[in-house]
Amino acid sequence: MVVSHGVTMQVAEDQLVTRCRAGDLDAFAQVYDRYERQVFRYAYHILGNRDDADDIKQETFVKAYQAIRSFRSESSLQTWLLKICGNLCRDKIKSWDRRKVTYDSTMREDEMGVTSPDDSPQAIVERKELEAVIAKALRGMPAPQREIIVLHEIEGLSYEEIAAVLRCTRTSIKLRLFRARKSLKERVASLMGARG
Amino acid sequence: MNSMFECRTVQNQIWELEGGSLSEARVNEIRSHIASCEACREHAAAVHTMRSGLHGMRTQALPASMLGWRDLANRVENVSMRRQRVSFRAIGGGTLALAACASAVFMFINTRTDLTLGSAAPGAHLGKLKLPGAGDPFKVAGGDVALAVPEDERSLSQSGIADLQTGANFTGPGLRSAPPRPSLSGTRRANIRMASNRSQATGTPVPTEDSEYPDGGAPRQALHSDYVLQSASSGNDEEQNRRYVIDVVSSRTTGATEGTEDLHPW
Repeated sequence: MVVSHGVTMQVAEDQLVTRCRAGDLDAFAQVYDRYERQVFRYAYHILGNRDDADDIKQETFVKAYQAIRSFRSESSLQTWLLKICGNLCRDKIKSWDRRKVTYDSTMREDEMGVTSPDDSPQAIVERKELEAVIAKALRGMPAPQREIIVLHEIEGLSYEEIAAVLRCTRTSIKLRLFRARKSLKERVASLMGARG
Repeated sequence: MNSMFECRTVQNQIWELEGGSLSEARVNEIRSHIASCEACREHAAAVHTMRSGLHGMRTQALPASMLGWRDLANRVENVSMRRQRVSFRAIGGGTLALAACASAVFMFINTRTDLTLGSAAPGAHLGKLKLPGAGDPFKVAGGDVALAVPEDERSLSQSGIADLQTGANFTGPGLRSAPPRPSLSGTRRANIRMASNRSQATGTPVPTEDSEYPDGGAPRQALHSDYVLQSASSGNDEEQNRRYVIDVVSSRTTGATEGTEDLHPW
């Protein structure tokens, strides 16, 4: 595993965790470097805006630092961090619901997609359009369904890892994912149809 | 001709085609079905498009995060300092807990159901005596003592105190206590039985005295022997199950004279 932050070195995760437990801030900085992008992306896709995702990301790492001594390495650090992040996101959404805050994503379409220099202009436009449609469809989904799609299809977590993050069984994850995919497909088809 | 059931099964599994969770044989079956079924081919194409779109979002240029390690480090350092303070507090708390345990053990060692009185100096605190509940004997062997019921026991059970006070009045060789308070005298006295420990030792029947103050309300004559005081309270279950802890204080070390000054006036 490669860790940036000035120094590139191979550090086993368990060693990193051991050092973090001992209060080693440099080790925690490496954990941050390794996972902050993924945590941010997860929060961003769940919450739909950068500022909240930023706050949740920071909060996730503060909580992780506070609780690192209780981390028993039963799951990977990535799964553990995503679990914390997911909980914080759900709390955030609940607080929005309580305050009747409308879910208003500031995710901009021009933020979508990385283009390859080999792509033709038409291919780039088509991909951006597709990703924009999918992003819009995702945003329209209920949070639990959106969460599971993000974890599996975007973050690439296995059923077992998602089960660890969401604290449910593998069978339940498969069922929920099936429903979420079906819902996403219908939403995408509907949006595509609307665009003509 | 493809059955609707087969189409539905295939369409449900199309998402898994690229996930590697299906067996190779099943993947081949699905692929051959797709090749021959127009509806499933369309479905597979839609799923593929959607999937590539979702995968593209994994690498998409997300907006730059405004908060970096430097911001986090400040917060984490604060947490770290707070944690140190908490651990110092925990050490302090641990010390206190240890001291509490030690004193509890000390109390336990010093709380007994029998006490042998030696030649303790007048006024010496001889320890704590645990008085059993109703029907259980406790023993104070020889010497002059005064029984003092702790203040909190008084508030907890008046009937228990009455028993103690009354029982103390039955003792002969200087086992003394203050006379019962007027409000607690009377029928409670009858609930105390006294038996000579010596009688028990020789196997003779324990002479119990359902004592309505056999000596006319005066403290009983000194017997110069060991005594078993037995509470026979007929109070409610809660009272019967109570255990009293009393202080035993030496009032005299020799002889047994009536009218010794109370060391612990009620």
